[in-house]
Amino acid sequence: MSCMSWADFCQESQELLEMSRRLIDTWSWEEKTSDEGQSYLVYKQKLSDPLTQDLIQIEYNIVYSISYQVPIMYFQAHHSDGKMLSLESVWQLFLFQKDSQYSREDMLSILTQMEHPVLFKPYMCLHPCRTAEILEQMPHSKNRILTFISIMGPYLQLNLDNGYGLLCRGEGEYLSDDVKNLPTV
Amino acid sequence: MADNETENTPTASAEKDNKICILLNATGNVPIIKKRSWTVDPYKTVSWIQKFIHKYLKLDPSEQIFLYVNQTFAPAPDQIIKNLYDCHGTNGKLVLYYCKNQAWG
Repeated sequence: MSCMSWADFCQESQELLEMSRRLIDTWSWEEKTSDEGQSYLVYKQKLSDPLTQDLIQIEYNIVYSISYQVPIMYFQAHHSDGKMLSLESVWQLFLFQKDSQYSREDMLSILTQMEHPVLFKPYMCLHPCRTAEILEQMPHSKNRILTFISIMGPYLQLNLDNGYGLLCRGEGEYLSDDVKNLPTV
Repeated sequence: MADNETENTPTASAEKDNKICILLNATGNVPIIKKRSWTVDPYKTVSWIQKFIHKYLKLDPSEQIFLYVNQTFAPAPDQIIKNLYDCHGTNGKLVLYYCKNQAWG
């Protein structure tokens, strides 16, 4: 149930792209070949480094993992002069928001550097060993790619607009049955 | 943060009394909370509610709570409830789903 097939990944990615278009967001789809796992979602954004105020460009890639059958979030961060951020500086960057409940030190234990399966370049990623488990907790998810990005993204400062939550709602599916049965307070 | 600034302005404090009704639904393997309807300050954040549930259920520090709307979308932890309600509130309520997960690693 929590495992995604390649076809699921493609279809739900296309749904996400449609939501992105409607929200005038900038997600895009990169297709190398039509083979399994050879296409991925791309999102780019700029952040300012909380310590040096340097402008950092981050490119996120949501790639399908054939071995784990889940999406993986890869990313690469560059300084404004084009130099790539080291793993240590990336840790610094994402650790900075200490006040968050999301215990970041903890998350950093799965932040690692791996070879990008499509581009064959070193990319940082959040290791997919726990992803299936997380997706399993949300069995009614209408779009697992969206669930995945919205859960993992905030650790890497990738915060999606609330509008995504609205668009993934199916037509006419306004209230869940639980709500209808509840007495008004 | 911007959220804290708005809290100090007079208009914001006037609105502060209009608490928002949220409905908590458990999914996955998380224990249920008997009282499902709660009213919260609109300027509380998503992470504040996560902490609240964590404390209420007396979860282990190695476990974390995820909160999501529409069974699919997990709002950013620094998002305030008022924004979420404006976007996702139905019939005067904000329906939130929660599940728990082991810490990473």
